[in-house]
Amino acid sequence: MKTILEYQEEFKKQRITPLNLLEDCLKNIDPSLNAYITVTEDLAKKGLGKNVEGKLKGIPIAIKDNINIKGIPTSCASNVLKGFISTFSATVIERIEKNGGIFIGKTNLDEFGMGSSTERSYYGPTKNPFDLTKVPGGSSGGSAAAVACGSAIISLGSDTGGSVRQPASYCGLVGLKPTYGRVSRYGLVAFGSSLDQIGIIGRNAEDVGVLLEVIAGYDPKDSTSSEKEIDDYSNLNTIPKDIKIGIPEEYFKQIDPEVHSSVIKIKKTLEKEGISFKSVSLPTTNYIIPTYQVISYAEASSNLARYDGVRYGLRKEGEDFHDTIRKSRDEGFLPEVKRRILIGSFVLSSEAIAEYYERADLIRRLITQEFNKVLKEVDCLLTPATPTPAFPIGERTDDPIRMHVPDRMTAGANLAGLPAVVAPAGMIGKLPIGYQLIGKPFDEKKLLSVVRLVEKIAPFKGFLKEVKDG
Amino acid sequence: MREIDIKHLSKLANIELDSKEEKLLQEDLDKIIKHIRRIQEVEVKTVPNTSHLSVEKLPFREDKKEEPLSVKEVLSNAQNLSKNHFTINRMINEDDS
Repeated sequence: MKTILEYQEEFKKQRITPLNLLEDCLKNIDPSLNAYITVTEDLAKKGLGKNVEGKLKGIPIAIKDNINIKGIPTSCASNVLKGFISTFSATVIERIEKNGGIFIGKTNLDEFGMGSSTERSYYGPTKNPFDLTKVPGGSSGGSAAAVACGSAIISLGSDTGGSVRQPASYCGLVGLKPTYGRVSRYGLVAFGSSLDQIGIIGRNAEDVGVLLEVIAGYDPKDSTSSEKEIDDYSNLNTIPKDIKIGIPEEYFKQIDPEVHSSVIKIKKTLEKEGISFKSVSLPTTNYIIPTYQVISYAEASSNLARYDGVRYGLRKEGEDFHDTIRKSRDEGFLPEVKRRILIGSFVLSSEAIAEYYERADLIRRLITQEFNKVLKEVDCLLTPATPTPAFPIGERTDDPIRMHVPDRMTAGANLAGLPAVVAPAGMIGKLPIGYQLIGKPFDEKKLLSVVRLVEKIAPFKGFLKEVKDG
Repeated sequence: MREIDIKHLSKLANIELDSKEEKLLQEDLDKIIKHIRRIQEVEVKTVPNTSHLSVEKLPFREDKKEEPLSVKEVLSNAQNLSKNHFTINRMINEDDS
């Protein structure tokens, strides 16, 4: 299994050419997985033709189809954006291009990122490469499946409540949600603006670090992006021994016993390396999902008001102006997005805002304070990534409450704006399962260093498909 | 429990729903609201509002002119156009004058 840095060496020594690597990735695209909405072979070849030198030279990267690439369709897996061609590129895309990375395709997602299974896509469900009857997780399920099946070396997703980390867990990969403000959101289609971050899904911590080095940093086009200096995230060779990791007891309740034992095994592995652990408590954990629902639905209802069929997207003519908008939106959105827009409109309505949105905003503050207090005592927190391995396709599509269950592990980091990484903890049967590390703001390097340490001493052997050597 | 008025909400959200959809969504929304009502259990009297997540000061961008999208690019994804304009249904009719 080669890393991005090893591929760069292979290119220099001319043992593999970037074109060989791209062709191998293209061969690994498996239509039965439905990981891609658009395969951008021409764009990738055009990118190679430019021969740009950089950290990502010749590396095929898959991009979630809610991140704009100029001249390429951006669908957000929605009928409402069918036929939409991006007129500009996201900042992350421009930065990847400047570093020689190439784009192999736009990946499937739950419509506008709203889901935990990549089943709620206008383009049909994506399947888990480890078991075609199971979901790959979501909403960045296409980005995870694309890397797991060897059709991309690494991918970008977006994470509003766990949408990068949960699919990484279900597909045996490393998934990073950076600190809020670490990566520019310019060009990412907005779902919940105070929660959204562009994240990375790769096969190992170093690859994720390489891509983070490229995409992180201040962007004048995103007023919430931070000016804080970026780290050398790919330099993970310093073993993080003098650190203390917290175990929040609430995260180990109501989970599959095998998930529990897999994560405890990771703890024991790290203990042998001299890392110390401390039990900690985060009592507001039980309120993470409803708080996340209120805030993300409210922000979604506001952000998705722009889809009116006038300036872009699907248009269904009605009797008058408002009728046209209502008909366009009815035909454009799938039921889950409608549910979230309707609830969002409700919690922001004058009769309900104090009881719901304003209250959730205060609870968000409590949750953040709790995390910050605990993170003064320890360097980071170790939790399961998801309560169970990947669930069967179709099992939860009609249950809007149950679909949110995996978010319990992940959405806290979004509410508090903290960085979090998921990495493989082992296999349960033929399905991978992950552990999660939640860190202090801008402490991505430390989190990736711990993951790197686990990779060295207890390497994960569940990778599905290796990209051949050309 | 608060009654969700689905007709009112569909107007607020600008989404037309047929009666079958209304019925299904009404059931779902009642369930979801029942679930999220749990946040009422949390004591928040002494908690200050969240104004922004970031602890640091957010920077201002440099105030300089940048090249905007061309008119052609801005209009490129619209379905109904009239010359260099987006077209919408007529809002004021001759009868209204």
